[in-house]
Amino acid sequence: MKIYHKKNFAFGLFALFLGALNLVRGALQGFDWHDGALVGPLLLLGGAGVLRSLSPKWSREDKVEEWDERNRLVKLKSRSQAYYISQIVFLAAELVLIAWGKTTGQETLIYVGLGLMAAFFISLVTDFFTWVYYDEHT
Amino acid sequence: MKTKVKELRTAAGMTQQQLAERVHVSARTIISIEKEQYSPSLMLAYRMAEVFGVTVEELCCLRENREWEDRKYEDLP
Repeated sequence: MKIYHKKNFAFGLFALFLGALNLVRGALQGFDWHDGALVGPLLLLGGAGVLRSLSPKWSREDKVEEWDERNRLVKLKSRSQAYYISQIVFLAAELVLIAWGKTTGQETLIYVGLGLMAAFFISLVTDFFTWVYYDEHT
Repeated sequence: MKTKVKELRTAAGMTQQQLAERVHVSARTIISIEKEQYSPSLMLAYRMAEVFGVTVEELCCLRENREWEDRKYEDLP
């Protein structure tokens, strides 16, 4: 037995492990529908991941998809857009929360707003340093 | 970017999946190139040109695309 796609194999094993763990927990503490909704997809995904990683044909397909230049570009664009949207949402939310906290006198809202402001600041700093790095190395 | 991929692929009697397999990309990438939604990298263009036995210049309509781009720059203020 040869593993052709190590990443898929590791992901599959991890998903199978989580599924089995939830199955055991459910057997000990009793099942409800949440367990089924979690265990089913985990075992299916894990099983599919392990099986695909053991097949040369499926592993090749997965690697071609992974290395595909358009897929990489789509991933980069979508992540960068998601990051940009998150920054705007953080900025808007922190301003609204701080203003709301100030007008109603609820300190909790101000603290949540300040927390978001810190997250926004960290993202700006990270943005700057990653830009410097890629500007140097691209 | 405008290319002759669809024209040459059809003339060669190949499916998008077959071409994708020959040049090691997904069929979705070939579809996007044919719909002019995605511009192939230099290496992918070279691989496709080799499959069809043409030059990259011919496959990617470089002269035509350059003229179109030149016009865009000429329109700049």
